[in-house]
Amino acid sequence: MPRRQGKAAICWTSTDANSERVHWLQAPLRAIQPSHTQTVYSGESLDKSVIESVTVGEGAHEMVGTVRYDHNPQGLVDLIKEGSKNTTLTYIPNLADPDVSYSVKLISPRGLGEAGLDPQRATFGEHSVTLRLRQTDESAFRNEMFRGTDTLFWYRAGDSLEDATFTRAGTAVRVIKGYGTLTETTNDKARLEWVSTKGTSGFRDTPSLLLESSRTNHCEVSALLSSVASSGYWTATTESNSIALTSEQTDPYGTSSGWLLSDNSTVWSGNIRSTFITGLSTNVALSAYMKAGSTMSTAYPDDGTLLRLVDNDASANRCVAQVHWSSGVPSMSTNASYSRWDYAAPERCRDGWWRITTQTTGPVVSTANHYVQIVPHTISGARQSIYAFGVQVETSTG
Amino acid sequence: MTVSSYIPTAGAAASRVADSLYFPVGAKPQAMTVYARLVEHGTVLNNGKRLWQFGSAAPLFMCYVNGGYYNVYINNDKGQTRASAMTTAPTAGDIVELAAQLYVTGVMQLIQSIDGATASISSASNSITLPDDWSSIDLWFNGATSVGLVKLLNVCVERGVHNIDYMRRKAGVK
Repeated sequence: MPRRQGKAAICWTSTDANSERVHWLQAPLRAIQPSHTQTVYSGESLDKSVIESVTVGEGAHEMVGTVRYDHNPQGLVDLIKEGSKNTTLTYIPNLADPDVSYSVKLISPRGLGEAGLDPQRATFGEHSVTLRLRQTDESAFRNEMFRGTDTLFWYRAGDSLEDATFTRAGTAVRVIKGYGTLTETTNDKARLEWVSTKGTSGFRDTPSLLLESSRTNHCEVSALLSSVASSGYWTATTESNSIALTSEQTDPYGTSSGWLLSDNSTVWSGNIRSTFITGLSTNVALSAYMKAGSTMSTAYPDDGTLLRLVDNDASANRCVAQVHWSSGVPSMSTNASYSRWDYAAPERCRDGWWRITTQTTGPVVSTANHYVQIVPHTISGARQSIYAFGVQVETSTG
Repeated sequence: MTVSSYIPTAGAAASRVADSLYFPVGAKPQAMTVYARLVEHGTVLNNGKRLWQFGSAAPLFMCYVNGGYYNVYINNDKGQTRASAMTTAPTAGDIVELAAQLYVTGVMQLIQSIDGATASISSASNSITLPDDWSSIDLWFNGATSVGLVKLLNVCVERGVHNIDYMRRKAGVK
C-alpha cells in the first residue's frame, strides 16, 4: 500500500487502471553526481606521444542519485520495472514546486534483484537504491540538481557580518539587553538592538539587526531641559503655576543627564516648552523618555502627563501623548480632550524609564512655528512629578 | 510614521544617516523561497520602502511596501513586471514573518504571519520569464535606495518553493 509522505516523486504513465503512477520519495534523490556517457574509440601510438580519438555524436548527460528512506519497496520495484521498459519517467525534486521536473529514462538498474536496505534506516524496513537517469533529450541536468544544500542564505541577528558590506556614515544609538540601556554605536558598525518578543514592556532577551533610514531630530536640545542648561532653548512656563527642575538624574544611558520636573502646587499646571521649531513638514513623530516621579497623582483617568507638539500660529495641538502612571508603569489612552492623535505603546527601558511616542495623522503646516511641551500633570487638585530626557521631533522626510 | 532610534542633540538639529547592508549571495533567478522574520519598526508605513531585494536595480526581485501592504515584486528587465500583495498590514512592534515564494515560472506569492497568528497568503501573480541573472549578486536588506526601518531577527533563503512552517524550521525559528 503506497504511503503518502514524500516531498519528491517519480511519476510515470500507468498501464493499469490508474491514470498515473506516483512513487513518493521521502527526500529528493541523495548523493547526486553528474555523469556523461559517449561512444569513444581511441588509440595511442606505441611511444605514447600521440592519442587519436573518434567520437560518435555528442553523447548523453546523466545523473546518478540514490533513493533513500524508501518504505514502499513494492512501489520502488514497480518503478524500476517500468523504467526498465524504457518508459519515460518524470522526476519531481520538490512537489511544492512541480514546475521543476525532469523527463528521464532509467539507465540503470535495468531490473532489480531485490531492493537493498537503507544503510541508516534498515531497522525500520526502509530501502535504498541508486538510480542512473538520463534526460530524454540527453541534455545536462540543471546545476542546482547537484547542490550540496538547498539553503542559499541564512542569517540570524547577531551572526557575523564578515561577508557583508555595511556602511553608515556616523554614530547612532541602539538599545541593549535587559530592560534596555541606550548605547552609542560608532560609524560603519551595524547596530544589534535587543528587543522583547513579548511586547514593548517585556525584558529584552532577543537580538535584532536594526536598520533605519536617515532621520533628523529637529528638537535642537534634546536632553538639557532647563533654560539655564540650554541657554534658553527650554523654558519653564508658569501659566497658573510653577515647576521645579532638578538635573543630574539617572537617564536611560545609565549616566546622569535626566531631569526631574516637579509641580510646586496642586494648580494646573507647570510645564516646560521648547523654543519654536520651524521647517517641519509632512507627518511628525514626537518622542521622549519619561519616568514616574515620587509624587504621583491618583486622579486617574482624568489626570495625566502630557507630551505634545503645538502649532503656535494656530494655537492647536498637532500630536499629543497623554500618559497615565500606575506603579511606575505608563499607559496611554484617549479622552475627550486628547483623542485625535496616534500613539504607540510605551517602550520600556532601564531604571523605570519608558519611551513615550506620539505622531500626527497628517502633515503639519510647514511654515508654522511649533513647540514641544511637557506637562507633568493636567488637572488641578493633584501634584505630580516626572523625569524626562531625550526629546525627539522627527519627520518622515528628514 | 513611527519614531526611530534616539538622536541626541545639543544646540542644533542632528541627523542619523541611513544604514546600508548587503551580502554577496549570488543566487541566480530560480524557484526559491525567501523567509524574513522581523520586528515591524515602520517600513510598512512607508510606500516604496524595501525590506529586502536581490539586485540593486532591474532585473530584481524584492519585498517592498505598496499601498500600505507588503508586496513581493519582480522586474525581469525585459519589459515585464509582476507583483503580489498582502491585504493586511502589521503595526509597529508586531513580530512579522514573511515568506516570499518564487516559482520557476515566475509566479509569486507572499505568506505573512503576524505575532505567530495563522498565516495568510497573497493572490498568486501571473507568470513571468525569469531573467538569466539579477542585476547584481547582492542581497540587500532595507533597500539599496528606498530605505525603511526594520529590526531583523532571521532571514533564510531556500531553493525551491516551501511553506512557512518549513521555512521556520530551516531558519531555526521553530
